[in-house]
Amino acid sequence: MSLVKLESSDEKVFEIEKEIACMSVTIKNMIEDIGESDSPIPLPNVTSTILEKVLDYCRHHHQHPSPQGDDKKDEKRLDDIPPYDRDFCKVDQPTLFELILAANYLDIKPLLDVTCKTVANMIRGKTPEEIRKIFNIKNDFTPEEEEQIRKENEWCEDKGGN
Amino acid sequence: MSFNIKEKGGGGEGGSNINNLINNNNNSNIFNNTNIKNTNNSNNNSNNGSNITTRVNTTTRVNNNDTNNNNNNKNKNNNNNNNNNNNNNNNNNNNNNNNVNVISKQFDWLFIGDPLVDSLKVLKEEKSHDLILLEASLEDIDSQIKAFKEKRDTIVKGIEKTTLENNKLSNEIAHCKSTVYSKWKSISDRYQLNPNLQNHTHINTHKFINTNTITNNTNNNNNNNNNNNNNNNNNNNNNNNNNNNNNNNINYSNLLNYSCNNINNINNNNNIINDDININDSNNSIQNAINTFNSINSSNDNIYNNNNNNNNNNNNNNNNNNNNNNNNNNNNNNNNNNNNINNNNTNNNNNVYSNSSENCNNNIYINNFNNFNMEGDNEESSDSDMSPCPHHVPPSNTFVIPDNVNSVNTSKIISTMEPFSLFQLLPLEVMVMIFENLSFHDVHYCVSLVCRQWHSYTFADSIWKNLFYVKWNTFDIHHQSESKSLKTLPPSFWPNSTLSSSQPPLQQYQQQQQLSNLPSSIILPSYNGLKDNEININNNNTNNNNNSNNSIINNIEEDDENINNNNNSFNNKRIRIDWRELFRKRQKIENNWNRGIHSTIHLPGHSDWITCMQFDGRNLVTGSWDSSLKLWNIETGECLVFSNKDKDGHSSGITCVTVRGNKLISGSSDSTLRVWDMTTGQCLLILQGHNDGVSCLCMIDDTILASGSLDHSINLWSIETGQLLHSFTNNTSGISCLFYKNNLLINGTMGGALNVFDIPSRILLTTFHGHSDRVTSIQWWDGPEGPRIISSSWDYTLRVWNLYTGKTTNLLAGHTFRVRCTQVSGNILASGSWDTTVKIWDLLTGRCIHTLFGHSFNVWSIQFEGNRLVSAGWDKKVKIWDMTTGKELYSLDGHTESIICIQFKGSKLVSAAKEIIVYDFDS
Repeated sequence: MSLVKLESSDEKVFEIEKEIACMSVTIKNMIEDIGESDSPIPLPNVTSTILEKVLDYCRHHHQHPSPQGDDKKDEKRLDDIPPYDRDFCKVDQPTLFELILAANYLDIKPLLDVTCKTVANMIRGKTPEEIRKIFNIKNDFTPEEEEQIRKENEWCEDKGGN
Repeated sequence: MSFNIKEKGGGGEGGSNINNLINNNNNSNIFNNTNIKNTNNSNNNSNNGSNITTRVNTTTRVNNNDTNNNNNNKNKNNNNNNNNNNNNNNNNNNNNNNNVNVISKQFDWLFIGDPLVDSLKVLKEEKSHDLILLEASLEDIDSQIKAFKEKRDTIVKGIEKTTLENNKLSNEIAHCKSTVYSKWKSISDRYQLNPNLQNHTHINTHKFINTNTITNNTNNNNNNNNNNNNNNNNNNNNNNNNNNNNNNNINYSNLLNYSCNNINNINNNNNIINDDININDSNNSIQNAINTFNSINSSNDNIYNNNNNNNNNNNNNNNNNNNNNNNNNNNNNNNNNNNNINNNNTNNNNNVYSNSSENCNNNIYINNFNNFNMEGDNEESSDSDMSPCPHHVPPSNTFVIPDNVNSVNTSKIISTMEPFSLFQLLPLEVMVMIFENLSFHDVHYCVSLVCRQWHSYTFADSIWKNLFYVKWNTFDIHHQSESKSLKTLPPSFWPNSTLSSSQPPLQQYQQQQQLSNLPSSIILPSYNGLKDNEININNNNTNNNNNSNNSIINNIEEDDENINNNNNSFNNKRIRIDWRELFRKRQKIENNWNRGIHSTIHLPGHSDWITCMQFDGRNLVTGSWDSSLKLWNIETGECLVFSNKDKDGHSSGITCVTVRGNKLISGSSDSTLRVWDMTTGQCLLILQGHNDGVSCLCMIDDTILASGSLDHSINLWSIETGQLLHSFTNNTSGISCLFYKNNLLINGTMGGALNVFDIPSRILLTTFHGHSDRVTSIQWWDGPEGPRIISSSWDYTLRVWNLYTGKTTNLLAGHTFRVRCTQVSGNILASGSWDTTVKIWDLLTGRCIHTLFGHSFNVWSIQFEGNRLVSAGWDKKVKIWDMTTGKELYSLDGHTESIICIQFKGSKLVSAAKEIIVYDFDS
């Protein structure tokens, strides 16, 4: 089993099996382009702590592949996060957002899906004011603009049999 | 002592007497006599044996009168008892009993009625009882104390343990907060998110300005040295200063002007010193001080003159420093002149002191400019520096202060870090991906109101496409072709609020349409159904060949041209689909369906019942028992007649129609089928081959047509050439209905049997036996265990068939009269019957979920619309039902004859009796 070396932005080198590392499409493409070599692959956008967590995730999902889920979408989509993934995403907000950035940069679709769902669950069922407090977002609407949006959004107010 | 001795002697006498009693048991008198003797002996010390009775009385009297005698008597009695006990041990049992009884009687006799003894006995008993109770209480209390001590120990241990855990958790919380803060800080530094970082950049720029100031001071010092060596000014030095100042002006003009103004002020003050020279020219010590200031003055003059060319020329013409100063005095304004006058009035000492003070203030002023954040500290340090070496103060201060500034501002950055959102880090596609996971309510009412950026992101097409699918379980956008032209987005405060996202080609949605079993009826080729340019070319050729002047045909041509234009635009470029607008329109239509909000269009129809129709949302084809075939423009009400008795059309009632491309095919009870050109109304082909009336039609593909007849046969035709391709003759009774899917053609018969034919090989695969009367409809169901065929019959039942084994998997019984029509939606089956009811069945369990009562006559046609069911019957009513609750929502009235057919497309519902009504729910 061949190993590849990955270097984080703070110059720490991680060794991992090639087929686990190739869960990242970015790394897979780099290996295909550069060819196998002993020099570590630089990942300038990922810090060592985040890279370590990402590799733990890839290792686990390589050993326990999740069954191919039905592609059909439905309202219960947010509730189907597996237990390991749910625990994996129980981290502080900065770490969670850095995981999203790392998954997006490394192109690891399952990790990006589960982290995005976790953030969506933080938004779900909250009022705009609550969302602003949770994520430190400034309300840059003027009162007139806010009223305008509410009026524009009233086209679904008469919900009937919804 | 003597008393005791007497008692012992008495006891001895008693013993001897008892021995006598043993020898003479029968004589009790003798015993009593013996006792009396003893008493008398001890008390009176005399013996009187002759008179027994008298002695006894005497003894009694003595006891009553003398207390001591009573005590002595008691003692003696006790001795007697003891003696008796001793003797009893040695004598017979009988004697013992007698002695005990006698002693007891004697005892009772002595103490009966004695109040003192009785009261003392009672008290003793009470105290004994109290003692027992108290001892018991003491034991209880001791045990309780022990138990409480144990509990206390347990609680103390619990408190200690809990305290330790609490401290541990507090430490963990503090550590966690510190860690999270470090992460926020790290992200802030790496991604430059903190607004105060701009201030830091400004401070760096400011530091650079300080460096320039230092350079100026250095140059001035050099000039100063040169002037000290030479009394005359040096043009080269002046030129150098000009260059330096010019560079500074170019780079930092505003700040440098501010600096120059300060230097001018210094010149003004130094002019005051020069006036002192002119007025008070005397003491050497004063002159030394003045020379020091002159050297400073000279360097400042150079700077001042460099800003003014005229002054510089004057300076070049004069070699005397004093003269230069005098010339400068001429340039001062009135205020300075006044100052000079005032200073002339003061004495030498005051002048020196005030000059020093003013110089200090000036230096402080310069320092304030350089180090405005550290004003107080600078003032103190500059005062201390001024005392030993005034002329070195400016350079040293300027070198020290920038470090202080940086450190202070760094602290401010940390202490005033404002909260920021981590969403700033995320790229657009990731944020949209997060929002795609949310429900309609969250996106529409919450996310879009958080901030401007989030509001603009909620217009992303992928979000609304996902919501559309979640709500209606389809990417079917057939609503679009029938809807009005899409509205522009509402007037917006945000010019870039609509995001342009890359949409996949529209062809993918066509595939989705195929997968979602779209209605296959298309009268005219809408651009959604267009697949290649050939049809477009054919349409164009047809339009070019058209020579008719009929106004109706012209209108139809206009429609064709519009559609062709749409097709051309579709072929030439991708069309962005506004999924938000589609969602909005469909939601509106859905709300109108739920409330019955609609507008109606009445069309005259036919002179007899309409038996069949096809509707594409814009154009309607109807066939009737009156043998006429008509094409309607439902927006204008105009009508094109293809066939009637006056023309060479069908000679009897039309039973079925279908549309493919621009061709219309009709079947009739006159045993023939005809193919018509939709755009011209011309009859292209007459298909003859059946021996009896045609009962049903079915398109196999774009060119092959299947027709069923009462003559028991099914024919395959080519609608391009009119050629009869094949004839199935396996059925033993008339064909009642046809169904085609997945290369399988399934027919029902008048006798109740169903046959399954494989079209590519054209062989009979299976026959379903079970129904006992006419089969009225056939449906396809993709069940969890494979495809199933569902049939309804006049025998009051519905059956679910295994397609491969030919056996009934479920028998759905419940209707009380003929079943007329069926519809399948997912795992739900609806059946309409002559018994005036509609039944809703669960195909997974075969159970009837709802029975819809409401119609008063035969239910003749049903159709699903979303989560609602539309039913029509011979009672002239169209009814709308809620599928989940089985409740009737409302009725649509207006018909004057029994309704035979209904069909909806998009927002429009068409119902046909003899007359036609179109209900439009997009209003």
